[in-house]
Amino acid sequence: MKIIDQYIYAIGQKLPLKGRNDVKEELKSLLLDEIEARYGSDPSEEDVKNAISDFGSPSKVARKYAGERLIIAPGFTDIYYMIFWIIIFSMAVAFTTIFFVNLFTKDLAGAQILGEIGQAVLNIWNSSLSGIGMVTIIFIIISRFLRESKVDLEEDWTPKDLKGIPLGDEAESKIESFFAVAVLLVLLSVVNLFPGLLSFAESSFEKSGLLLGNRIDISLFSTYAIFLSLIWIGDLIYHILILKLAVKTKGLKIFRYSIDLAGIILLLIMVLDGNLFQINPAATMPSILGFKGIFMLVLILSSAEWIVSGVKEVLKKAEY
Amino acid sequence: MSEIEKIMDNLLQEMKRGTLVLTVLLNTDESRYGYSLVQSLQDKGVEIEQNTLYPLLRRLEKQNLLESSWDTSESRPRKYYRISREGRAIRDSLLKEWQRTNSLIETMLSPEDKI
Repeated sequence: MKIIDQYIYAIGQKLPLKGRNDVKEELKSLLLDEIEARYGSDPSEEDVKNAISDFGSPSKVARKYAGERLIIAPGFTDIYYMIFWIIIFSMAVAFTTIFFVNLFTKDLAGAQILGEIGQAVLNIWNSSLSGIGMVTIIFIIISRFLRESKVDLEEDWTPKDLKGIPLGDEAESKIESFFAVAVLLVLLSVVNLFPGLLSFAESSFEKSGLLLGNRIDISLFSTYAIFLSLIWIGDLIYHILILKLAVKTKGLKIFRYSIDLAGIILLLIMVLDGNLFQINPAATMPSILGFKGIFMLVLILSSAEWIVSGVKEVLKKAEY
Repeated sequence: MSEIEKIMDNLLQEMKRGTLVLTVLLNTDESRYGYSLVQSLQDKGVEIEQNTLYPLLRRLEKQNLLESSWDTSESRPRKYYRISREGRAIRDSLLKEWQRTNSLIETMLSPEDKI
């Protein structure tokens, strides 16, 4: 009967390619057995429809054969949610900062302020969606490749591993280093292979309707890129060692402080270099909005972090 | 259905699901096709949905616990399943574990719990 073939076809469309024909043939045979047992050898179309209806919807039947297919493998769920919230948090911080920069550098009043708030919220929403979408696609691809294997990031874990885990300030997060390595590799690639992406980012940003106060000089930035790369390679080495050792040794701490200090000095030089950030001729009034603002923000945060961790270290030593 | 009934229903389903593999392995010494196995199990009082049993047969086949073959000699081709050598070994182990668990539960029962 045609309806049986249509039903089996509909199920088949939802089954994995591997073994699909075999499942379809078997299902057809089983369904015919069922129909014959219930309605005899000459069933009416209504009987067949009843039997099919009792067998279940094509999706339900196919799901039983294919199993529950999760978009993201359970072993990656925690890390996915962590990145999910990092993206939202980062976008919220970035666009809130831009909002405040605009608030203090532009002559805004009344409805314009409300407009800026609306724009900030919209930007946070759009950029978070883009970021989460991209991350989700990556996780789906990873999960799909690992579909056949059991995904467990700590599969080989045994209680013996606890022995090597340091407590207190000596402990260092491997997850943090894992992401730092990934981000540093991306930064190194962008800065050295595609420096033009910075100009592209500036142009893309201006499409949102906001005018940048300054624009970066890519040829001069390429010179700075050499020094930036050296610092990031140092940072990369630090995080790789952390991943390997999982302990912040005294030598590593000094190494990290030195790299961070070098980074702060370099950022300071860059921010103060008048040729690196040229005033955007299209801007109606001077502002730091643009990469200069981002670099200044990073400089302030890095310096604060460097000082705070240095003070903490000194205080800790004083306790002993 | 009340909340308690829902919980009970879920727990019963879980319990039945746990015994399903053993049930199938105990009933496939002779070659059987899906529909005949459903009938045979129902005759023995095992309630099982076709849509649960058929995919289970394929899964057990994939795990090499069942062997399968198509019989095309009749007007309707049918896929027959039969327990494999590995399946028998697994069945024996599962059966021992089942009996052990059963004995353990027995020891936990108070006289009034025993039926």
